[in-house]
Amino acid sequence: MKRSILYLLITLLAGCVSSASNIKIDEDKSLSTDEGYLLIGVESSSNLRSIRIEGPQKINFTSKDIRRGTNYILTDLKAGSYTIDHVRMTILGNLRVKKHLTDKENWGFDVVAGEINYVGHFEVVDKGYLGVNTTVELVNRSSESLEFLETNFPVLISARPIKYGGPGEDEFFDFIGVSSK
Amino acid sequence: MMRIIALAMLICSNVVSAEAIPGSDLFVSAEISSVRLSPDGSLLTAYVLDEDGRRRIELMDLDKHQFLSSINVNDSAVLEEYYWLNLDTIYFKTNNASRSASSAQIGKIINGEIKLSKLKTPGYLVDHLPDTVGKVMFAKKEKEFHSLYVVSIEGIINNDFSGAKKIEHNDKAINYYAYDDNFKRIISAKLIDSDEALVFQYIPFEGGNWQPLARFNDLDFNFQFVGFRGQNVLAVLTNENSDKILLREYDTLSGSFGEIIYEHPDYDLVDAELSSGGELESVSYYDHGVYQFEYFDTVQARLFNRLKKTFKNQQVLVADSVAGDVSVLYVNGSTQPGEFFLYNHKTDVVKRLLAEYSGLVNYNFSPSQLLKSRARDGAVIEAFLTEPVSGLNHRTLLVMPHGGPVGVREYDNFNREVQYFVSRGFSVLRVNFRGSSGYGKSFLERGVGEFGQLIESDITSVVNRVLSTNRFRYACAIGRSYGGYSSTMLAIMHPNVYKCVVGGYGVYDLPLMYNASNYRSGKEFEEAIAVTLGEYTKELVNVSPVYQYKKLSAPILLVAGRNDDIADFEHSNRFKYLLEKAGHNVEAMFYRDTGHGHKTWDATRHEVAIISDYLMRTLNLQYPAPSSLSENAKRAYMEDFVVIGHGYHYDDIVDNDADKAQLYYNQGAYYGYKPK
Repeated sequence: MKRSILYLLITLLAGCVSSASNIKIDEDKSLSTDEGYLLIGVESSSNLRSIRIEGPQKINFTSKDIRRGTNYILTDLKAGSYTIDHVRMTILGNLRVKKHLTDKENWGFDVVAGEINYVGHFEVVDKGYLGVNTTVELVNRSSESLEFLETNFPVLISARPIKYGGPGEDEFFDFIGVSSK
Repeated sequence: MMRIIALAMLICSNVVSAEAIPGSDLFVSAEISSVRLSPDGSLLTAYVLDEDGRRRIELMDLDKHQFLSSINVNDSAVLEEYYWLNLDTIYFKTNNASRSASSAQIGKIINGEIKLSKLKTPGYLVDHLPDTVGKVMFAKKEKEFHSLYVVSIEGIINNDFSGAKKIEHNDKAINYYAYDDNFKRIISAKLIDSDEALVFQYIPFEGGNWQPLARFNDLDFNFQFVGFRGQNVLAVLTNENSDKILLREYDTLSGSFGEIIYEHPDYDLVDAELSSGGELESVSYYDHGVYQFEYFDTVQARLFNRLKKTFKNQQVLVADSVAGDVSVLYVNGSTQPGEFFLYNHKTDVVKRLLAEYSGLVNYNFSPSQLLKSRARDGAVIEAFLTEPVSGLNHRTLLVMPHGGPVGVREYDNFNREVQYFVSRGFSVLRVNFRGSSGYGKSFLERGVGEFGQLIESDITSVVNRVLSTNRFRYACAIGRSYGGYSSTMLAIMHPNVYKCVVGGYGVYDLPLMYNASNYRSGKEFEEAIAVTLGEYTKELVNVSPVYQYKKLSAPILLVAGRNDDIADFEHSNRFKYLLEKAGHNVEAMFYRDTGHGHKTWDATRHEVAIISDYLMRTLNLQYPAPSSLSENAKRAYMEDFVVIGHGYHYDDIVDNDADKAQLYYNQGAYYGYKPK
């Protein structure tokens, strides 16, 4: 009996958090009216194991999409306000750590329905002696993300406007005419 | 005129006429630094970079002018400071930056060799108390804070404080002590977090209760302690209630500023020295970009006026001195990369001692000419124009705005980059526009928020004057950081003047400066950045190259570091994206694993070679034929091409390109390159 309850609990909890499917095929999927595309860059000098975002959906980006170096995650999800909650990584060879991003006000972004929402590059940099001091920052690298989309998703960007949904304000996408205004 | 032995002869016999100087001779680290005399002036120590790239302390016998021995003070650390404690003892403090750790050693001179002992006592040397034989003032770390002792040298080596005298006082929470030898007072500064106050206080040498000197809650002006004028009067360098940084009395009892001791009409003071009685001995400031001293003691003043004449347009610093006996002088100027001289006060002879860069002693450098122009509002703007003295002259003016732009400035010291370009036939103009430091508060503050406006107007007032001489066929703007931005804006604002632009590590989208990331955006960050950039407004797009890119007609080379978090790489990439889409003539050199500039000389040499090659190609200038060049000049061009070729060939910070690598290797071969 106890084992059954535990199994049910694990199943329910696992159901709350989904792993993001990183879109690889250049096509414009038919999204429901409350969904949009999220594009986030990930650059890390550490081995990242997962990044968790929370909002209308709880989503894990897992290690296959966030290897060391520069990567992009393009996925579709429910529109709304999200927060990057925590990151799990491996430091000093094999030490697994979980870094909670407790200053929630600095880690929010918006996903607008029907658009491609670039929200910044999640950068993880090892600093200090033996890399024990790790800094994280969400950096606006809009032009690089645009070049990535132009190279890899020409069909998608011809069908959908691109919006900057990351920290601060930025009119670059409006200026070059790829946004919906 | 004082006699300068050996110097004139060496200059006449070996100097290479003005032509291209190899980057591998120019862009290298100083071989000599921190030259100190023993207390009797018979020995000298210098921190020397040897041929294997290791730094060592060399011990020299001054009579024989001969090195006796050398010693490695710490392999993995840099020398932070060192002092001769007495005739045979030296204190060394090293710092290991990667571990943020300092350590200290004592060197004993035995038979011409330095024998090192690691200091067992945690803490730091406050003063070597020259009047107290065998003893020093040492701040010993005890738990969280430091206690102060007068202790023997052996005591600090062995951490044996049994015979030491503790200087008792009534504030245990002190970490920073200094000692004023003139008034025999111990000074401390501490930050009181509870009310965010910075407090300066003192006790006499014997100890006692701390007496207040000054207290500031919000120090938004310059306040630099120089010394005591009297029991309750300080001399401080300050710009509180004045435009220039000047030397002024400060009453410690009333906490108010008093009489102005010295003020320069044009320049901020940098430093001052007082006698043991509190009288003003000297002040120093940058006069026409050269660091100058003004002495008030007649004998000293006479000596330094003669030195000024001997080393004309060069800064002369006293690196160390044994009173009335010998002084080590450090000389640097636009044509002097840096050299140490020994001045004997009794014989009145200056002897050449050590060159800071031995690889540069035989080159002939181009002097810079000081220009003073009137800006549109009448303000005086200083600038430095350096032109080739002889040989190749492309009659091309490189306008080179400095970075910052607020609180930074150009000097008339030796400038390796200027000499690199001038020796290749270019002329370089550097301007101390509004916002530059050294000319007073209002001059400095007038540069705030003047991106693409008054700053570029100041530069243009000087450029117009220089170009009106008709000596130049072309002008290009070239700069890094703010200078990259400024160069681009100059070309946008004056399309008929500039034939090309080189923007390095620049900012091209001013609104992005306020919105670069989650931690570099928002109200607090806006306030921090406003001290340079001014308030954030939507109108910043009007002075942002990214949003004005259609107005740029000149070809442009963009140089950037992909890891730059000062002028984020996004600025350069964004600008390049727009220019490429518009079919503009744009080239880029985006370095991997590079931030706001390079950390290695190899990478620096690559960058200047890339810029020089870009200028030559873009302006269609002719390289000199190898047959017309000396071996050194041939090497200079060969190295430039090969270093570019290597960048494209080897796995380094430049994206590889086999075709380009071959092209540059071939050009290098024209100047003698033979692949191994």
